[in-house]
Amino acid sequence: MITILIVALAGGLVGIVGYHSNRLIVSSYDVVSNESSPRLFLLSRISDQANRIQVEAISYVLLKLTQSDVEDESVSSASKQSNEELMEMQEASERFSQYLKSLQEIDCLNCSEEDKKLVYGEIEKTSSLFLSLCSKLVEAVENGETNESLAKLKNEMEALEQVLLSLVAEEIDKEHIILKKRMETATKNARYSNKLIFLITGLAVFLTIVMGALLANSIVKPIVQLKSFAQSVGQGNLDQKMPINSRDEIGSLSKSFQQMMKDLKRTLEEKTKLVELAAEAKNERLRVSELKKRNQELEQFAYITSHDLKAPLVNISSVITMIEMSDEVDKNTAFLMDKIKSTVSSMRQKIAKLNEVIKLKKNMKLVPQTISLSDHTQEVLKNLEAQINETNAIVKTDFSHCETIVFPSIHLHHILINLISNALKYKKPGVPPLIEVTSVNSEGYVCLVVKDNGLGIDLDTYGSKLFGLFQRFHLAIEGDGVGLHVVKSIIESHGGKIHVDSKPNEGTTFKVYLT
Amino acid sequence: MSKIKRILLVDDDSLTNLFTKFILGRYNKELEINVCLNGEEAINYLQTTDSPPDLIILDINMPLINGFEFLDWQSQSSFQETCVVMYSTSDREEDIKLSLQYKQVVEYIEKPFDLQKIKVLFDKIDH
Repeated sequence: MITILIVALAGGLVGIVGYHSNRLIVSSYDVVSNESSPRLFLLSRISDQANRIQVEAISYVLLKLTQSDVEDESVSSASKQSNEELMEMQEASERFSQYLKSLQEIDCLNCSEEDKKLVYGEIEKTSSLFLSLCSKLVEAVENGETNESLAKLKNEMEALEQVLLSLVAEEIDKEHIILKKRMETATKNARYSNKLIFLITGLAVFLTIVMGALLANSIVKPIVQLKSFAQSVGQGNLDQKMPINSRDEIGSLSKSFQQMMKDLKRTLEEKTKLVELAAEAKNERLRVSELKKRNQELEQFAYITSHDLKAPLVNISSVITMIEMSDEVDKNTAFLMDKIKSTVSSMRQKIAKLNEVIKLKKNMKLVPQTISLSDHTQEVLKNLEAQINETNAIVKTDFSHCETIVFPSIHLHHILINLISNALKYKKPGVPPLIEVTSVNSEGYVCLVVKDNGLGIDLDTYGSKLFGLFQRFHLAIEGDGVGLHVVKSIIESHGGKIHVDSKPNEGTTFKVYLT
Repeated sequence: MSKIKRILLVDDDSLTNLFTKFILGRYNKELEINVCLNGEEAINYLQTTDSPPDLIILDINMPLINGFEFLDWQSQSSFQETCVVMYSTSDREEDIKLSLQYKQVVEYIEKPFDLQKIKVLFDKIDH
C-alpha cells in the first residue's frame, strides 16, 4: 500500500516539475517578445520620420526655388504644393518628437540610468538640432536667401541626419545584442529545465523500479515462505510456527493458515487417539483369540486324553471278547490274561503322563528364581545317571558364556531332563551318545543349546508334528509322544521359543530361548 | 457270498489288529487279512502287492502317516476306488465328518468291532 503511494507521489512530482520548467521557458520568450519589440519599433520609426522630415524639407526647398522661375498662372498651384510639403514636414516632425518621448518612457532593462540618459540625451540633442535646422531652412527659403546659404543649410541638415541615423542604428544594434542575450538566457533556461526534467524522470523511474522490486519482494517473499511452509506441513511437521507476521493480506492468509494447521493438528491428535484405541481393541482381540486358542488346545488335550484312556479300555474289552468267543479258552487263557495285564498297565502309564502334563500346564506361572545353570544341569544329569551309564554317553557342559538364568526351577528341570533324555533315548545304534549342553546370551534371551549325535529327525517330513502331543517318529524306541509337547508349552508360556535343527543319522540340536 | 475276499488292516495297535483279525475270522473264515502298522507301511504294501485288497480298515491316529494322510494319498493313487472303513476309538464329530468327505469311505465305525457291526457293514458294501 505504502509503496504504491510512493510510486504515485513520484509520478506527481515529475508532472509538477515538468509543468514548472515549461512555464519558465514560456515566460522567457514572453519577456523577449513583449519588451524588445516596442523599442525596436520606436527606433525604426524615429529613423523613418527623420528621413521623411529631411526628404520633405528638401523637396519643399526645391519647390520654393522653382516657384520664382515659372509663369504666373502656375504659381498658385506650385505654392499650394510647397505648402502641402511644409505641412507634411511639420507633421513628421511632430510624430518624430512623439516617438522620441515614447522611447524615453520605455524602460531599458539592461542599461544603466546614466547610459540611458547619455544615449537619449545625445539623440534628443541631435534631433532638436536637426529640427531647428529644418525650421531655419524653411525660414531661409521664406526670406528668399541665396542659393549658397540654402545649400549650406541643406548640407548641415544632411550631416545631422546622418549623425542621428547612426545613433539610432547604434541603439538598434545594442538592442539586438540585448535581445540575442535574452534569447540565449531563455535557451539556457530551457536546456536547464530539460535537464532537470530528464534527471527527475530518471530518478522517478529508478524510484519506481526500486519500489516495485521492494513491493514485489514484500509480496512474493511471504508467498514463497508460505509455500515452503505448506510443503513442510504436508510432510507432517505440524508443530512449527508460521514465519510471517505482517499486517497485510499475506499476513491474514498466514494467520488463517496457522488456524487451519491447529485444527488439522487437533484432528490428527483425535485420529491418533482413535488409532490407539483401535490398536488397544485389536490387542484385546488378540488376547481373546490367544485365549480361544488356548481353550482349543485344552479341548484337544481333553479329547486326546479321553481317546487315549479309552483305547486301552477298548483293548481290554476286545481281549475279553476274544476270551469269551474262543473255542480253546483254556489253551490261550494265560496269553490273553497277559495281554489284559499289559493293557491295563499301559493305561496306567498314560494316565500318569497325562496327569503330569495337566499339572505342568496348570502351574505355568511359577515364580522365577536365579538358577546356576551348571549346578542345575548336574542335578539333572544325576537323575539320568542310570541311562547315561547304560549307553556309555559322554555329556559335555559349558556355561561360561552365560552362567545363570532367572526361571522357575521346576520348569527348567523339566526342559533339560526331557531334551537330554531324548538325546540318550534316540541314539544311533552302536554309537555312544555325545551330548553337549551349552548356554549363550542372544538378543536379550538366554539360549540353552542341547546338541547330540543321535538318529536325528527328517524335519522336512515331520517338522510340523515334532512338538505335537502323542507324536512319535522312532517306532523301535519306547516313547509316549508327550515330552517335547510339554517342553514347548512350558517355554512358550514364559514368552520363550524353541528351535530345532536336525539331519537324519547326524544328530539333533535344540536351541531353547528363555527370557 | 460277499464280494469282499481280501482285507487290509491298518492300525498301530497290535492288540487291536489281533482282535480285529479274530473277530473277522469268526465272521468269515475265508477272508484274507493283511496287517500294516501305519499309513506309510500301508502305502508301501499297496504299491508292491500282487493281490490288492477289496476293503481297507483304517485307524486314524497312527505314527508317521495317519489315517487322513493315507486317505489323501489314496485319493491321488490307482486305489482310489477301494472301499475304506474308518475304525477309530474316537467318537469326535470333526473326525467323523472329515472321514465321510472322502468318497472311498463307506462307514465310520467306533472300536471295538462285534459280529453284528461286521454283518451290517458287509451287507452295506455288497448292496
